[in-house]
This record gives sequence, C-alpha cells and structure tokens, in this order.
Amino acid sequence: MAARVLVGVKRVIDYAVKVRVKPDNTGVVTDGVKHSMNPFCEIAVEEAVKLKEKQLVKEVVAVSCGPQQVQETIRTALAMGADRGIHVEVSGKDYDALGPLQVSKIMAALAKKEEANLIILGKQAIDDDCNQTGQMTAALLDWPQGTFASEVVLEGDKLKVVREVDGGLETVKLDMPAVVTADLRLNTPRYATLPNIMKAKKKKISVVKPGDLGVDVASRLEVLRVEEPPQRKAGVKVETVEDLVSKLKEGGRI
Amino acid sequence: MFFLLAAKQKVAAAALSLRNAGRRRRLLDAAATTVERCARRNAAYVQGQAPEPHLREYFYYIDHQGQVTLLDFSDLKMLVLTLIIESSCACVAALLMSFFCQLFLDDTKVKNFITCFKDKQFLVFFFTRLRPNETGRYQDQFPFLALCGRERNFLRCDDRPLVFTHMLPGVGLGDGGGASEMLSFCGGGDKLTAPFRPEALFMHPRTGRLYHPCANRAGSVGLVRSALAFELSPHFEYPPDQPHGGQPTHFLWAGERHSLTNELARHFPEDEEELTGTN
Repeated sequence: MAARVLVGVKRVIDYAVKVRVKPDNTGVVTDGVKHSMNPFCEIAVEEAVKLKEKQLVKEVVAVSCGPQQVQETIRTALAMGADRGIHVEVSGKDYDALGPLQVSKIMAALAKKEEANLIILGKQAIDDDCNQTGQMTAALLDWPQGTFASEVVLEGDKLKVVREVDGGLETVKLDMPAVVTADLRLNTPRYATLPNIMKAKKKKISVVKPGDLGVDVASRLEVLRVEEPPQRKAGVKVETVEDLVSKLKEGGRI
Repeated sequence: MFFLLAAKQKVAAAALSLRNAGRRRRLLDAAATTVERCARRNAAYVQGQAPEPHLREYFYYIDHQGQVTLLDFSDLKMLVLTLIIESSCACVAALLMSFFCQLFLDDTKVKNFITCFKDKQFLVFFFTRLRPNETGRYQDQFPFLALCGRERNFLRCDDRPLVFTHMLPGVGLGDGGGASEMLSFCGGGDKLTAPFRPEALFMHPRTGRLYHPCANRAGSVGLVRSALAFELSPHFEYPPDQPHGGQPTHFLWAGERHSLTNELARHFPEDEEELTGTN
C-alpha cells in the first residue's frame, strides 16, 4: 500500500475575478484581490482523499509554497480531508519569481524527505497556465508520470492512469513511486463541511524554508512586460450582402 | 419521454424474437429498469427543443459551488436511443439497448469551472426569474425554472438552486445605522444579493453543510458554498462540552453574539425528527 501521498496546492487569483494589469506593466494586481485554491489542485486533493478513503494510501500531505497567506489554502485542503500540511515559506521577490522549476525542486526534495511514493498535482495553474511542475518533478525524481489524468486506479504497486490527450484517451500503467497530474474530468471536488473545516484547524501545518531542503529558488527567468490583450474593437453593421462584400474588399480581406 | 418509450417498445418487439426465455426476460427487465431510472433521474431531452411552436426549452445544472452549466442528456445516449428506434433489425435493437444500459451507468460529469456560465448579465437575468417548476414538464428532475420570454430554462441542482458565493461589505445606513452586509449568490456580484442574517445561518446536523435564507420563490434556503463557509467558520460558537464539534449555538458578528435560530430546519422535512431533537 502506498504509504504517503504529497499533494501540491497553489494559491491563485480566483477564477471568477476580472484580472487587471498593474499600471507599470510588471505584473497583475494581486493586493486586495480574491484568491483561492487553484481548481486543478482541488481536483488533486479530492483524488488523494478518495484514495485514502478506499484505504489504498495511509496519509495525505498537502504542500504549498509561498507567503503566510498560503496557509489558508493548505487549511482548505485539510478541510477536504488531507491529514497534515507543509508550508514552504517563500516571500517577497523570491515569491514573485517562483515558477515550476523551483516548485518541482521543492516537491522532489519533500518527496524524499517525507518518503512519499505518490505525488498528485493539478495539471496546471490558472494564473500562469504553465503545465510543467508535474513533469519536472517526475524528471528530477526519475519517477514515471501520468499527466492529464481523468482516471487513476491503484493496483498494488502499480498505477493505471487514463490520460486525456488530443486524440482521445490513453491508458498507461506506471510503477510506483509516480507523479500524477489531475485533469478536469478526474473527479468533482467535495463540499468541505463545517465540522471538517473545524477539524482542519487542529491539523498540523509544519513550516520549512527552501534552504532547509537544500533548494535554491533563484529564478533564471525575468518577466520583461505584462500587457492586457488588445481591446476588442466595435463591429460594423451593413445593410446588404453587396455592402458586406465591398467592405471586405476595402479592408483587403478578400 | 417519447424517445425512451419508443426505444422500450422497439426492444420489447426485439425480445419476442429471442427464443431463449431467460435472455428474453433479462432483456425486457433491463430495458424497463433503464427507462424507469432514466425517466426518474434524467429524462431524455435535447437542448433547445421546441415542444410547441415559438417555445424553446433549455436545461441547466447548478453545483455546490454555485457554478451553472448546461446539462446535456448525453449526445451519445441520445444517439443510441435514436438508433434503437430506427433500427430495422431486432437483434441490433436488442444489442444497442444493452449498450445503452451500460452507458447509463457511466454518468461522466462535464460540469466544471471552465464550462460554467460566467456572464454576469446572463446569470442575473436567469436568477431574477427563477421560480419553482409548476409547468408539469420535467418537474421531478428539474424542480426550478427561469422563464425568459419564449424560453423555458429548467434548472436541476446538486443541492439548492441558490448558492451563496461571496460576502459583500455593507453600505452604511447613516449616522445611527450600522453597515449591513449582503450575501451575493450564483456569480451575480452586487446584482444578486440577499441581506446577511447571521442568526439564521444553519448547519445541517447530518451533512454538515451550511445554509442561509433566500427568497421563497428560489426555494427559501440557499446553500453557502464551502469556500464562504470556510470564511465564516471562525465566528461560530459551540456548546462548552463540544468545542468545535456538534451543532453550533451562536455566531459572533460585528461585535454581537447572535443566538442561532435554526429556523431553516423546517425546510428539511426528511430530517425533521433529528433536527428538532438537537434544537
């Protein structure tokens, strides 16, 4: 039986919020903006908790990297059924520059430290759409990976993963330990009930720094500029098909 | 219902041609059970169907996070039903029916934050017109509907038709009045709101879900989505012998200690005994 599952959870701007670019074009406005757990990470937590309920794993550990506020995201995972949390403290400029490479180094180091044999992550975050952390983590650990999972079945020490790919569905069988990234159809995250929310407040969240794990979070990427997409221009109404054709010709479209 | 009944009739005809009595009976039972389950839980329909001229029907689903999506009676299931009805060969109809039975067991959900409606105008338009479904059409499966001109928009719910998603800060009532917060629902921002009544917050003793009153025509009880329940959770007070467990008794808000009325318990009749016992 897989002893321990690590689940990565990321704190992102809520999907329903209208994102605004900062006036200096260095990034997006995050101060005072509603944040929540990345929806793909919710699906990852749900899957891990389901495995525990089926008694296929012993412990679910939720991990998040960032400043103090990410502890709220970890508490949400605990309310959904994770057993304990690990907050990897990264703040300020380091946090602004934190990307998939740094997070995957942290996850790999934690997997070794905690002796985890399964890592479940969301397939991508809705703020950067990178879709890299799971893959990089697997590569750093030299573990097999089942990405874009829409179904995960644990069969002894093997993992059967059905992957959503462009051409349809692909089924792969992985030796454990392994990394899985969750896609939309994997499950429907549960409602974290009030009693479970209250129980979660008593669950342990340990705090570590990347340095404690021997990880250097310096980034090799520099964001030069962030811009809004061009404003959609108003359309023009015409009376007849002939008008339409002549307008298209005028605009050099035909 | 037409599609289902037509398929059932076709299969009944197909079953007659089977010489093995056991197989015949099993096929008829499977068809009857599936049609019954289908009719009860998931009546066959097509998005935008027109039961009468100049009238269109659409079907929606709202989940426990307040996300509204179109609820399609799976295209594949519809296709199989159509093939059954149109098949000329009895054996083919029988085979397709057993395939349909299997498909029906597999209820893949494609309702999520990507497919849900986000346009505030649409959501406001929809939920300001929401009322109980008394049309006699799909009433069991879709208990609520929003009438928009010539459109009937049926709504099915994971839990409640109304889901509170955010707390909005209140606007001061003037020199003597305090600010009164509003609870926003279903993604409507400041256009879909209900006044926040802390004393009326209700935790269902069996499911642990949190509820708050809403307009009668929207079912009187709205679900407080999990993320909002999380924000409100530090303000609950529990009996001294059960700190952080059991049924909360008070809610501390804006310097006041509100005694919880549990008035919403009467809207959960199946749990009435249990609920009145804990009061």
